[in-house]
Amino acid sequence: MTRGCKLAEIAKTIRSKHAGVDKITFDVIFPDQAAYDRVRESGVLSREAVCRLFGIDAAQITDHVEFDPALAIKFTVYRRTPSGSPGDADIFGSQQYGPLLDIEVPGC
Amino acid sequence: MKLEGSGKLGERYVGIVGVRDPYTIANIDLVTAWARQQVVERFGDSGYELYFTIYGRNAILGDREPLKALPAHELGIVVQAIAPTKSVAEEVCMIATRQMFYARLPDVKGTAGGVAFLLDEVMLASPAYRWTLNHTMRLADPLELFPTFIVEAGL
Repeated sequence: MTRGCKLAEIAKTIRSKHAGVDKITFDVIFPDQAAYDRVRESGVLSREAVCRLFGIDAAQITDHVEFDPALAIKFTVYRRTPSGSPGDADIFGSQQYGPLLDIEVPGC
Repeated sequence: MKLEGSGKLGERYVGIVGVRDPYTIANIDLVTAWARQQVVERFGDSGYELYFTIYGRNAILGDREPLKALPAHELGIVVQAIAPTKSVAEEVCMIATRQMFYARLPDVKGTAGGVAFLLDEVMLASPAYRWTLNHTMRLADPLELFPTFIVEAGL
């Protein structure tokens, strides 16, 4: 199978949330080992891929982990400005995951 | 122990406009730049803060929005002005909001108004704050800064 699917179709949960004053953390959680492995091995959520998607430098990513026991890929990025500063339109960081939904995952 | 704090930046007013004209949407950065310039001509370029949040393009992700170059067919722009006093914040917000209506773009001949007003006014919002302190302090005893006293009330 070479047909791709979207991350939103094979992940169980895709979310973002504020993490302290100056960071936003992202969780992508999968329903089973196969989906988790497929995304992990494809590299579509690697540090480099996340940088390309959001147009940020690697230094903006403070953490990036593949957490096997939860079948989850998690990463955390610095905010552009501290939460709630004037001009910050997402105080709780709760809508930053949007661009993740349409990521093409090969081979599913 | 975790120490967090914020500082007051000033009083804040908010204005809202909409845009439907495709040429204006394509040149929306010129429109907000025009409005900002009108504020600069009245108040100079410091002593206040002014933000344009453009819903329908990249309000939520800012420069991290991959679809920034593909705005929606209509935009909502929220203007925030912050200044030491309510009267200055109100005037900065009013100029920035209203002047989008009068923005001059190259090749546009119409003069009937470049944006749609939801309200012909700007609204007082809560004062603006920004984080100023985000720190941890090492303590030998977690309660050392929170002493407990027991006194006889004498009742």
